[in-house]
Amino acid sequence: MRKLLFTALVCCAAGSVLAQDYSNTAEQANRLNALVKAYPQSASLKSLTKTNGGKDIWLLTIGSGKTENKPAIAVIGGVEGNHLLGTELAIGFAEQLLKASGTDSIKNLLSRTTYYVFPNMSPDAMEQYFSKLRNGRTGNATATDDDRDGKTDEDGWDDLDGDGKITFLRVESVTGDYKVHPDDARVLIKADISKGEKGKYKLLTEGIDNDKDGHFNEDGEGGMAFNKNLTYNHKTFAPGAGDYPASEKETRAMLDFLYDAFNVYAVVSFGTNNNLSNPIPYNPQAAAQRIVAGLLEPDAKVNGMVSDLYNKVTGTKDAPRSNVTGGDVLSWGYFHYGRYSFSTPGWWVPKARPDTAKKEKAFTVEDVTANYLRWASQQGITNTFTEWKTIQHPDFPGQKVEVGGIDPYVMMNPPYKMVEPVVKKHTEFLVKLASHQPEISIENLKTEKLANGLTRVSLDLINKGGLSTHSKLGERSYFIKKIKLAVQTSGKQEVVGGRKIHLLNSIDANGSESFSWVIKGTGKLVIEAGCPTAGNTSIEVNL
Amino acid sequence: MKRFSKKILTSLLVLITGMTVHAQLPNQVFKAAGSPVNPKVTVTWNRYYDHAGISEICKKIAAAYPDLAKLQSIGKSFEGRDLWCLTITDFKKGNPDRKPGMYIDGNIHSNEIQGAEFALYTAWYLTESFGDTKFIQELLEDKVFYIVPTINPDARDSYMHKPNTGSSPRSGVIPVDNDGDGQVNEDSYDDINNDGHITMMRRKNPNGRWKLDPKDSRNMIQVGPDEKGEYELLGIEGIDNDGDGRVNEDGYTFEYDPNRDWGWGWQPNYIQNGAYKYPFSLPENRAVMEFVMKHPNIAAAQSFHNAGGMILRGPGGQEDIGTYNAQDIAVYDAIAKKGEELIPGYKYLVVYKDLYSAYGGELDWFYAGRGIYTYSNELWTPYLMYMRDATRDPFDNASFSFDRYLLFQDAFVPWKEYDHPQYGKIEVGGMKKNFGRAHPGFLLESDAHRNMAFSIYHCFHTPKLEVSEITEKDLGDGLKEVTAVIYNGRLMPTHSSQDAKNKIERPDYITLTTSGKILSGMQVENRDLNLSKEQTNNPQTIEVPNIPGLGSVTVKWIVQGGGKYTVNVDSKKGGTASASK
Repeated sequence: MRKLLFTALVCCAAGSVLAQDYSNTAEQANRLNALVKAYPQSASLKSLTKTNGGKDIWLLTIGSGKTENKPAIAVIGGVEGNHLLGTELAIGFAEQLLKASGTDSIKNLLSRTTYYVFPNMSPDAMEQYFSKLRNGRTGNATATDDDRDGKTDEDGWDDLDGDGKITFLRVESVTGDYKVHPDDARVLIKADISKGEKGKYKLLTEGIDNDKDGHFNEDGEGGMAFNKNLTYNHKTFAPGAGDYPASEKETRAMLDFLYDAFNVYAVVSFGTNNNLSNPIPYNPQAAAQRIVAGLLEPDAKVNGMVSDLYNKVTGTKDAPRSNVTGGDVLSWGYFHYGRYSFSTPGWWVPKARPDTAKKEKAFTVEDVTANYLRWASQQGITNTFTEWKTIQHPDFPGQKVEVGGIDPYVMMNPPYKMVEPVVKKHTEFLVKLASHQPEISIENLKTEKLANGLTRVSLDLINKGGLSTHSKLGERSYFIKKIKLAVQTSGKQEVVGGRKIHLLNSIDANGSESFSWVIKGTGKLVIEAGCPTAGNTSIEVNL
Repeated sequence: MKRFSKKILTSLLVLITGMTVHAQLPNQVFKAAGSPVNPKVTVTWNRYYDHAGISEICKKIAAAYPDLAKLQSIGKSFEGRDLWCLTITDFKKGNPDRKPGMYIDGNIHSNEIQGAEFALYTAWYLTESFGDTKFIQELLEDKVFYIVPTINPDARDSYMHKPNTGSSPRSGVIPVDNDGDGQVNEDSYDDINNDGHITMMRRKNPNGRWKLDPKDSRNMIQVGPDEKGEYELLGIEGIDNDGDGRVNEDGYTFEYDPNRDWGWGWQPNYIQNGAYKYPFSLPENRAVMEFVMKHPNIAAAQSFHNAGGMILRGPGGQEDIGTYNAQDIAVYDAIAKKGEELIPGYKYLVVYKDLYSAYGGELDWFYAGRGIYTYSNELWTPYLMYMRDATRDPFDNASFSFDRYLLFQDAFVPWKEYDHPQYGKIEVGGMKKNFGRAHPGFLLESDAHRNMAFSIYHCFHTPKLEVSEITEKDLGDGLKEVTAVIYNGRLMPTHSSQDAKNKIERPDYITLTTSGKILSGMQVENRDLNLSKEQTNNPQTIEVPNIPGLGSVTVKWIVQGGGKYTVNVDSKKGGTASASK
């Protein structure tokens, strides 16, 4: 009876359709635990480490049977601590996929593909959203000296208007470089000096110069940012990046797991970087550098193909261009891990059309904040802008200082009620991506008797998938296994012609390679082929 | 019976070793200049020690000199061996954590063994010479040495106790699938003749292109283009264990390169051969990094490798040419050129340009990542065989003649016939693993001493700060101007320019303590022309970005009232200084 009640509760939690807002750490853990309880055959959960803030880094493995032996996609959320949607996408994907795991198509998918879901790589930072002070934090709980003055966390934000969120300060000043947006007086934009414009305001984040060093909020609570802490093009010494790459426990926990997960062929991360809406173009110079800085040509083609798939499935458009800044997971996945690597924010503020009923006109100056406010108003979203309000500020005696501006989080994360369809489309994308998975297959087996007890065996090794068995760059990596084709003789059988073991770097999408051997002996012979990223197969040969 | 005799033998051995521990009687010995005459810790410096042997020497030094040496484990290796660190300083004078420090390690490449003995010799010499050498007393009053003899103890033991060549394992012992076939360490070297040395395989073959060297028949030389050969060389001693058509392609003898694992300019394996998963993904290097991060007083560092007789500085990669800037190179040059003088046969070289490109090396992280002036010495040079230029080529006749006339053929395994499962009748032989890279015993101590002398010179030139002047000037109206000059008496600045550029370490603090009220504080840019830059916030403690080597900084304060002044200098890498007036 008790068990029944418990199961019922779990089911409710697993559904969790009633949620009104994004999940905090505890709720995330509850949802993940509910999944493994509800779908023990298809999901397992493991804490890889605890952050310096004492929070678990979860890994949810989805698949059936021996998951480590099947080609896998890694799905990474919480890449940036202020991107709540990324974690929601990762957990939501797991929920929707598992909910459908009884259907033939998903059952079939999970029998041949493994998903490694890292729901939240920034739990320390993300918890800030659920605290008394919302400030868009991206740094974890490691104490850092961001401005490298010998003191840690000595000048953070201050909630001057006591509204529980960190917004902005505008200070009237003759040396200010900001002016009011011509179409929306709430918004500040940079004055264009080249057009003879003059600024009226200094724009700062909300706070005080606590350590009186002339800089505002330059070294507050919040240490390393996961998406700056990885190894490719790491910006050593920059705030949030760390004194050396992979300095943080959560970073290392993910890398340690993934480097040993030889079956992963693609990494999909949810964060501000985006190579799914617009693929990274092939740049021959960058690709040819000794320290490879651009996608190799075949890999750029794959990026293009997967981007087409993404745009078709999600129907998204007008994505803002993104710049990878170094230390990020998108770059790491490709340049260092050697796998196909994709990233998307999942959602961005749509382009707001002027509402003619309200006599709105197209903006004379394009600005993301102005666009957001117009879109929000059309959607009936309120309470995401703090009206400018004059305060007394100790660092600007006698000057007019106002607190106000756009709230943290709202430009990167849609209101929770809009999340569900986003999750649905991204789940569909992750499912469709797996249908292109590389798959090794032995075809066209032929045996020719050359004499009594002497047989020529030939076959074609084929990759049936839409992706190459290895990214072109990955072929060079030491942490990716090669395709092994091995003849397993038994008894008195002997390979008298050809090689007993072949190691191949890769087979292209829909590509094939032919092999033959001369075998002395009789009976049954087994030929095995495969690699972790494309699966294993074998065939029995009658000599 | 068998057991019984073994026991007797063990006791006998204990007795004999026990006897050697005792020092000589003072009246039996006569001091050779510059060497400890009657050391408390007796170490034989013409042989090598495995990790247990090194541990024991470390413990003896720490036990014999509690006021000069402290032993700690800074972490564990992959297989759980302690990474021993000896802290050597005069613990009775000053706070060791605040003295400018020098970090020394050896043996990061596990087959490059003598680095451990060289580092250990430094610890031994400093402690044993302290009593009667004034220079060492002063040095240890000012400075602290952190000496980690081996930072790769697992594979050091593997090198000594398992079959290897002189160049293997080089790596640590974490297993790696080198050939990417899904199996790990399935095809290592094979010690066909069971002698602990992996040497060469040759086979008589009229189509071969090699013959015996007429000058020394142990040596193989290539025949001329128009000459018929007698032998073929089949490579390094081994068998195709996994039947994949390749010999020795995946063994414990090479997994990765620990000196491509450091957190500056790190590149993955496909760009930098030997790199592991990410910077400091090897536990031994991680322990060193964490130790260095906890000791911001480390201003100088030395790592010992072999071979070739080199004093190396970075950059390891061409991309870092700009990182090593002119001011820092001047310091590097000054110290290393002295090193060339102190260690005959050694040349001062730059890694990327004179050797090869190497990303993620230890010396680059120490310098570029922490702002520490660092050298790697490639110990042993064939120059030392006959005090003239020679090569490290194992087929070089000089090696054979040195082995014949000075080592009495102890370094060579004579060719002998064996049956090989794939090659049939072959011969196995060649230079032993302890020759070619490791010093022969009789040359070990003198080269260790010379390299130690270079480290001491290096450490001597870490900053030494003093408050050389405090001057008070009356400005009238009860106001006083107090000027202080801080002098650095050694070559190194308190911040290398790489450090200053990236603010790796905090500024130096110069603090005035007085009963008067400090109204303003400033760093003086030009005292004669009265140029200065005010620090409005917290004027009592002036923060200066650097105190240059063999140079000074001047600061001044405007004080109301006051009288007695104390100036304290507090620098992470430069130590502390204080004066009152």
